[in-house]
Amino acid sequence: MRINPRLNFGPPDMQSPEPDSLDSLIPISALTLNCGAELNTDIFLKIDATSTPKLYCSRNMAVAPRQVQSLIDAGVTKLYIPSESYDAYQIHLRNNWRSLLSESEVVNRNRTALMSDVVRAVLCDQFTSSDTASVVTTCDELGTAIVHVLSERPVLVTELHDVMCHDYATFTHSSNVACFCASLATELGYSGDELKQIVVGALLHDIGKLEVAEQILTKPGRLDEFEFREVQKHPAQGLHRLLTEQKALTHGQLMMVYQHHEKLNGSGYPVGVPGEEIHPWAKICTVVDIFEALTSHRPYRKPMSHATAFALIDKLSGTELDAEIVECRRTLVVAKA
Amino acid sequence: MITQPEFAPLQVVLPIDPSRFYAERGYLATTSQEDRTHARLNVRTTAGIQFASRPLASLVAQGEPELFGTVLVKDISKSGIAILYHHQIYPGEQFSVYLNGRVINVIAKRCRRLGPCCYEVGAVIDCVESID
Repeated sequence: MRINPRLNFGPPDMQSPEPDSLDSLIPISALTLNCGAELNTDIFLKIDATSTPKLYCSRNMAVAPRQVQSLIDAGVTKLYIPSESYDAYQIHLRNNWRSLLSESEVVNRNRTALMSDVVRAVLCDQFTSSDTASVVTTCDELGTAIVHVLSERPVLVTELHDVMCHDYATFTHSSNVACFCASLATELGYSGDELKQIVVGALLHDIGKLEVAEQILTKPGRLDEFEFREVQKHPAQGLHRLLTEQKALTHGQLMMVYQHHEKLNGSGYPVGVPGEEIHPWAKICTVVDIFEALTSHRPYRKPMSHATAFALIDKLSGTELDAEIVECRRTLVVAKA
Repeated sequence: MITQPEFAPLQVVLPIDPSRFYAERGYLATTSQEDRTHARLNVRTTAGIQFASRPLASLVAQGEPELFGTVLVKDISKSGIAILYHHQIYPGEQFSVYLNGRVINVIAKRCRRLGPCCYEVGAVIDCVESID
């Protein structure tokens, strides 16, 4: 392995202690350093599975793109940072996401992981903003990047699932739903501008949840009647926010926001419209949304396996969910797994 | 001053026996978990409504959506109104309800399908004007 760790060259009292184990460190994708910008934290390298992490690059020193390439060539995809530097890492991703996602030299599984990390970090930042126009513009750029990355080569659904985070934060869920929607919509025959619009709509589908109280969204137990009603308001709140503050979205995208909890038999919310009145893009979003929710961590339960999630979704196929879309989703998981 | 326009006829199809619908009187029951600020009074009458434009509905409807229609008013409070209409009205859409010599300018907040050609729409009152 030709890796040249750039050990801290500062005075001894400035050097960071090297950790004894990975316990105090969190893994980051090596590709997220592939922009020449410095990450304001120490970066550690683990040569093999049994070795202890060594300081690879000290804070305030940039890792050159050729060094990242050397790491990737040597099979090192993960580096480590102290857990207390997570915020600094997120800031790094937000500041450099355009150059990270536009970097086209690295085409492999790591690039999908990079995309997932970057989209989450940028969405996290944007979803705390009250500037809806900025959120929509950024989601438009992210949508373009997702379509670009996923169109470079076929990406397996299981592979997408493996590289994603699965916490219950709205920005994580939205990021995951967007990637899965891209995959499913492609399989259903969408392409070009329509595909991008679907991905952008998926990124925005839960924007109304930003107006739901955090303690309801993260409640570890079952929601009471009042809390459930509050959560059920999010499609209408999302549409209202986008309609009143942002005019650039298409009808299909707005319907993804408004109708992603509608069901074919009219049992959904907010309106309870039957299948023929539900936009096809919203039907795609519904299937992906449910699947992603079932296979992710929730405050009140552990993630389900794909098989268990499909068993549940099968019961809804044809009555509440579009059978063709469910079947297509299964094809993506089963046939390509 | 505002003049009353011509409205398309009522097209709402009630999903329940109309006699039951028209029999309801008085204030609506409420619960401690509701976040309403004002009591709602049952009202059973028709009223004309006018949209300035319906950009979202234009994309859904076959042809241009009607800008002038007739609704069944269901209940009204100091700050809001509930109507029944034969088409979906989307949250954020603005329209005017012509009722008893007044024009009530409202913004739709929620919509629920009660049956074919029957959508219940809750709207917040923005302002009230007089008809000429």
